[in-house]
Amino acid sequence: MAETVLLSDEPSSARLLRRAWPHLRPYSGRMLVALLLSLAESASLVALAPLIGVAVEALTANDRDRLLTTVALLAGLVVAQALLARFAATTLANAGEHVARGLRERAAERLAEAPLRFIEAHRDGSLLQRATGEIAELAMFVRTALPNLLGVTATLAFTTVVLLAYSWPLTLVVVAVFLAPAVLVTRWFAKDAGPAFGAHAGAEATMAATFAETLDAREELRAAGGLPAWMARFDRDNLATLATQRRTVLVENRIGAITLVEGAAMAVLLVFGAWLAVEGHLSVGTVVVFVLAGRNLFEGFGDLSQLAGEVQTVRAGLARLLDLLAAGVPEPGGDRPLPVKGELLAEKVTFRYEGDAEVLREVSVGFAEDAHAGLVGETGSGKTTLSKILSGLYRPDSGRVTFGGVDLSEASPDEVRRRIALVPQEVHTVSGSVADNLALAQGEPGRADMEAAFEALGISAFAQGLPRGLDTPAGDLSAGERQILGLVRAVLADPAVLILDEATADVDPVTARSLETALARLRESRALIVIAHRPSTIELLPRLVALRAGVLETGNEN
Amino acid sequence: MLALAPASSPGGAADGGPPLTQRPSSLLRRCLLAQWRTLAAAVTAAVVRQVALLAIPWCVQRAVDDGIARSDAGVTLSWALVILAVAAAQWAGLIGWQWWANLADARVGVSLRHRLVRHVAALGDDDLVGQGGRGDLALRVTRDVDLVRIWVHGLTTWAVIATTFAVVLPALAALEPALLYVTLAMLPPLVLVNLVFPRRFEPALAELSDAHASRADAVADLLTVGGALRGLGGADVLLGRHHTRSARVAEATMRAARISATWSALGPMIPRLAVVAGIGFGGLAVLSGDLTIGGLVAFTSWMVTLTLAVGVAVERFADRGQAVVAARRIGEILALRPALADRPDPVPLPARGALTCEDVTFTRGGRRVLGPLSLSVRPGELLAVTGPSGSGKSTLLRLLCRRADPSAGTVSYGGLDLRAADPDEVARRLVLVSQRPVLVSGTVADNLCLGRDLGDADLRAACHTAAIDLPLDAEVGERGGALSGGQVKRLALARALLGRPAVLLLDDVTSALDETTEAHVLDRLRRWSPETAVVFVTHRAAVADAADRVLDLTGAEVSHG
Repeated sequence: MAETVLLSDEPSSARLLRRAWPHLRPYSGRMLVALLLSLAESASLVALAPLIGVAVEALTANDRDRLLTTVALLAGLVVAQALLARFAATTLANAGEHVARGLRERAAERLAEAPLRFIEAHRDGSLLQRATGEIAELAMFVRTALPNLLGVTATLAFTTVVLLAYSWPLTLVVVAVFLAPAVLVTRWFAKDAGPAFGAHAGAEATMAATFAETLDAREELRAAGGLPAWMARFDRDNLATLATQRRTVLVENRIGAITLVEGAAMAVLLVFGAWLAVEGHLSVGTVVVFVLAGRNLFEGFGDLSQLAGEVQTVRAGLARLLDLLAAGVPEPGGDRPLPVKGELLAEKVTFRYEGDAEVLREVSVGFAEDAHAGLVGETGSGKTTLSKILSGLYRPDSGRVTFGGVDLSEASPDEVRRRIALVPQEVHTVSGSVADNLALAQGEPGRADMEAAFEALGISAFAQGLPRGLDTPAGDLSAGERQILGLVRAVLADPAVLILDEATADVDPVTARSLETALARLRESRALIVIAHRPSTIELLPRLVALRAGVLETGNEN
Repeated sequence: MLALAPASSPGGAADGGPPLTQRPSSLLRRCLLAQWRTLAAAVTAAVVRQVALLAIPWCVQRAVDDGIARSDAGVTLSWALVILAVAAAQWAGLIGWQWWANLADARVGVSLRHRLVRHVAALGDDDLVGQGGRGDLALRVTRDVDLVRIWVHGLTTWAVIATTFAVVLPALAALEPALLYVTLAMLPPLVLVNLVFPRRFEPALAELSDAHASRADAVADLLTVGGALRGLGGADVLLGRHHTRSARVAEATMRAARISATWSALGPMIPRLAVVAGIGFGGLAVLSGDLTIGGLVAFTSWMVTLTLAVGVAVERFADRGQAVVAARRIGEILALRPALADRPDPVPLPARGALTCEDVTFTRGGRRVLGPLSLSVRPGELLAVTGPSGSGKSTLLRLLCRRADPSAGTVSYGGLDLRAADPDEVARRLVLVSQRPVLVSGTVADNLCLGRDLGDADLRAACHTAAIDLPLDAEVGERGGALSGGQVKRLALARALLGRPAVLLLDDVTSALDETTEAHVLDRLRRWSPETAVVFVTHRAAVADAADRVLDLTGAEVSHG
């Protein structure tokens, strides 16, 4: 059987940058400029300490003019640094937002194209959380934390270079005393950070999903008197976020050990510096530069490790996003063109849902290009599943479906959608007017097209009867009225094969009947396949295909 | 289902009177009061950490002046050991600070979500019209709550900032008055920067928040509607709408980024210029012998810390801006009052009685959807309701169980106006199985119980009555996605039966059933609880045949006895 790939709650964040690179590459030019500006900014920041060192040398040399010149230079440098910081931050935010926007749009496209079974297999709260809250978090990181991260890293690098130029033995001692333990501490942190932050993100997503379900099911919960128990479930999920956050703090606090390392390094710097000064290898000014720049170094490393916490959160978020982009990948389609019309043929189609018995077993059935047929059977006999397979929304586990002789899995998905349309029983509406909802069809039909479609279905009166016509908010429509919208959309799409899955069940029988006749009449040689229980709908159809427990019964003709 | 209508649509909000909008700052204040002990612990630890941090430059100054400048290695060594001890105190303070600050922010989040979920659960469908779609509501419980938490977490850093100023300013005065004057001179421009920028930043952030929310709605649309539209090629149009909103997010992000970039560049520039001025004046003082080089070094070190403190303060101001926007969005939800308000002194529903409505009409957006209509259903009676689409059948059922109140006329049970009763009791005893019932993720049994404590035997009996043949431990998938439409409806019917309601309102629950099964369901339904009054909206002849009476809503004005 075809496995549906599921999202992982804590996806691996290994080789994250490499996996994210395809999304970054288009903006590499912008990122390079931002990087250069950041480097220039950091360089000017690092240059402050040596200039102060020069001022101290001037003091020991009792040179008043040199002191004042240095002070003027320092003032200029501070202003230049601020200007550079301003432009580095905006350039970086610009590049980052381009990347974030690309990711947002890829994620939405993935949700629009992912196999239907993938969407159906996920609690939609978790898909929604990944595609909205987590992407927003990523964009916020890019806007706020990333400029800091770049600045701090560059400052660290430049400071080390400057210190080496002053006194390499002292630099080596400071680096040995500070850097090695600091790296160990950071490793200690990183060892458990991934799982801890991932578990926290997962707990937050579960809580968000339960909240979304509360919104949907609250009337039902009230009717069953189940609200208190449900609230207990939400509270459990809510408290789990607290427990997982505590774990992240425990891990994050390890990084604080850096302050101890910093103190040790300062102590060693002073003692060793004093010894070098006593021996006459070092001036007091140089020791001052080390004390100042050393603090830059330590604090830079401290900032970096604090940012590491944010980076971990974002890495977990990015991994979950890339997981979504990778898991929801559309089934491979072909590019074979489909004929304008042809026979729709299912050959030995077998299908099952994960872990369940077969829903359909070796079903073979054909519909000629002008067939009008009904698909009947008891509830649970597999009619809806068959309709999804016939319209190409599900791939069969074995067997195949062809249109005009071409296997649907070898044709381009766009072509399949253009030829074969399925109207389900439940028509969802989006926010906006009736017209906004009708525009959700191929080619974004305009008002005139919509009116023509109502006319063609013989229900112009329906559209005119709405309180504000096509501008009526779609949220005000009843289930039956929404079904009518679904059928109008189908007419606007004008497919060669139209499959109606209980598409008029909520419409009153008289209107339903006239809609069905109109649909059949509208396009000559359109194949119309109708799933229905209502006897008045079925008796109109010249041919009936019956399913029983996933197996085809011998077709009986009306 | 939640109404996905835009904010401009006429909605139930008007019926509930003006919402009691709470000021965002008072919501934030109450969050803090609830956590004051933890926050106090965090503040204490933070102060310990900061005092230790500030003591280090002073120790370094002593080491430079008394040790290195006088070429005394022994004194330098003892100061180095003191530095090590102070660093250990600093780490201990940091651990306590992080632990308690995180605890406080996480608890604020838990309690806000605790309130939000209970508040939202008490609202009716019409109350949420105009409050954005599902995606936007989900953002209020995730992103907006997180922004408030970030702010709470950051509050403890104010203690750090205050400690910094309280320690550094007197220390500078002791070193050299000129250094103190330079430091004091930099404060007015710093304060000015922090006053001017939040005002510009807040609206930019509000717009960014809005842009994210409207994009989140587009994603929610893609998830709920996208699947159904695939068959029609409409997903591309939805994607187009998403991308337009995504572009708006990008614009709003850049606007906010430009303001914050200028702000965070100017913020630290001012104290750095003060450092430069300090070196100038301090340097002259060194030349005239009033200050030591070590003192000048301590000054610059402290100014670095002061610069950091100002930088953090700038960030905290930004956090507050974001938290106020977030608190406003959370407050908007908490300010919503159910349109169907609770009575302060609810009257219990009679144990038995007829469900009656008298001269009931219902209008929505100026359009009369139903009535005037009068009807009465006795216990044990089956009333079938038929009529074309849009004739008000579903609306009638919603009025009968008080999911909405009629625009005119009364609905009563056993002579008691439903508006006088306890809404929870009405919800439990007058049960609606809607056209699109909602399932929660979990097993069939979870969905049947919905928190009630029921035995498997009861569950099986109810399933049998509703003709549902699923293992009790089968997973139903997100919103019942693993089941067919008919199975979902019958599962909801079985769930309703388990409460043995006084009145059962069924909205076309058998439309997906074949006729044989449907006949079984009707038969068993009446045997299950013979005293239950059933109002059954249907298009099916078989139901109408089995009913005691049929009410046809065809025609604009209907009045049946």
